[in-house]
Amino acid sequence: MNAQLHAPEHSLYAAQQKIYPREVTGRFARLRVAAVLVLLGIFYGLPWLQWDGRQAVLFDLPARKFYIFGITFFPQDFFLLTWLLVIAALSLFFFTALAGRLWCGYACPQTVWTQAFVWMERLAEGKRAQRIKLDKQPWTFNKLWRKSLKQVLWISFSLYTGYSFVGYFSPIHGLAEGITQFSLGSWETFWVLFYGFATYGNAGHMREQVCKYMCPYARFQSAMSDRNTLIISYDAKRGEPRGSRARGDDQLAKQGQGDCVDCTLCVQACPTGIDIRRGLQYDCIACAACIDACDTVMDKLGSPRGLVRYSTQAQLDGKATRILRPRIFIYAMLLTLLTAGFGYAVTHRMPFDVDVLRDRNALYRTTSEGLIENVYSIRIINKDQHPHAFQLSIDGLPNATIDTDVPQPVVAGGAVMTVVIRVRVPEGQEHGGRDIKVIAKAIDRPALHVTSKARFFSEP
Amino acid sequence: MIEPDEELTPAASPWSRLREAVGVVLWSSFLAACLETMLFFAWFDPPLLSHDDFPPAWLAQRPTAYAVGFFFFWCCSAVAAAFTAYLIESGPHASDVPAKPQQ
Repeated sequence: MNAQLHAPEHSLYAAQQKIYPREVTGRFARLRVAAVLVLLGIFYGLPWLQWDGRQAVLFDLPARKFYIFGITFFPQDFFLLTWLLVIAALSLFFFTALAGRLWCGYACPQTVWTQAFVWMERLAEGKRAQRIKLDKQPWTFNKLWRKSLKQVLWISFSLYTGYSFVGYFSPIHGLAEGITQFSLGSWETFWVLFYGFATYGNAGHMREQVCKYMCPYARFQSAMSDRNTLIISYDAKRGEPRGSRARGDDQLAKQGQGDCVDCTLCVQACPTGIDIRRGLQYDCIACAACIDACDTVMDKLGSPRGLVRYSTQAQLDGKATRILRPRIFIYAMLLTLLTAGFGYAVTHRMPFDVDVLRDRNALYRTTSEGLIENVYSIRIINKDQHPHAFQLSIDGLPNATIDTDVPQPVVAGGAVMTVVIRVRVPEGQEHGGRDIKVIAKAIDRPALHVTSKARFFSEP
Repeated sequence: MIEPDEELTPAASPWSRLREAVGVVLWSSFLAACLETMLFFAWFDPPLLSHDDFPPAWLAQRPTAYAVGFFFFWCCSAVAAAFTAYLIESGPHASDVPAKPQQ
């Protein structure tokens, strides 16, 4: 997100050595492709989805309303967002304890967009060996058009990503119109460029360096994982001592040589540039590219797969892996409780809310009839899908009368309405300030009422 | 056929200390700014904050206020993060060899 990092790259720092991840095919590569397609499909497709005649998912910041399918959220529902973040954090704990860094390898936006950018790079510049060669070449026409094509693909994709992102906050059809008619608002233009630039920097240039240097998750994963957590590992007992051999050559194996032929494909496939044979390292994002690379080699050698595989520390030590263990139960239980609570809170949410703002100009005023008057702006929020009429009343102030231009305000579904009320009491009854409550009651649903505190002032 | 490439992937050389610091400072302050912006504007509606002449009318518009607020929070958090990084980096560490007492 902070692609600004790139600006000083060439002037201030020594150029960093590039990683050219080797392309792999196999079970996990297919799974990763599927994950990328599904997740990017959701990201780019969701803003176009319509629901009840408007955008299904729209975080309408200018109007301070969040539409998520049939439900409208207001800033007053902020605790739900906090709740959701707690659920997300706990899910991360749960899945990490169970299956290691699944998130990093398959679902993290950093990985997903990096994959997409790597594909575009391959399309323009070819496979790993071709790219290494191309980078070493002087600037020929071939290099120029390949590099230019890559930049065109990357920049267009980044801009489209920025556009889709802004489409979550500003109706995407309107944005499309704004772009085609060159009438896009200045902030919208800015955020499209900003997010596009961040995508370009993060997925095009920084890639797994973000995971290594900037992601806190890699650093505290050890707090969530244990000996029974799924990790990607090299079976050193089976692989060592390593050494090259030909297919069907049993002589060396008889002399005690391990299964690893030291072809280094697992290292070449690694996007973070580590050697999995050195054991579990915090740089490993568990993308399983090394598993696919090694399986291909084992297939060709006629050896069983799984020299590099998903395993657990317990399994590597020759013990049984325990999936059901106390921390899994505790995480699962907390997660279930929080999710159920969240579902209940969303479905049983109080559909109305009321806010009171005192008139700023005067504390109180004496009317010609000899009454003390305080003026308030009442904001009635109707989160329901249907309109409701409201009755306003005051609690905690004897003999109070309410004067308003709109005695029974009707608030449309998903709308906010501000009503000015003048609250009056006979002169001499009150002295100083007094806490009062403003009550808004839906006329058609008298059981539901919302209150807000306010203060009533009179002469000292 | 298995044909290892003529050369291995060069082991990724680490980012320089400064580069890592810049990255971490910008990133951690970005996350903090997101949280601060969300919390702040969930409670305060920009048009309602506007009082007499301050903040000026152009700033009281929601899209502008959100954006300016976000970058303001990002700057403040980045200053705090950079200050922290600098003090930790430049300060004495427990592992440092103690200076020999003067004779």
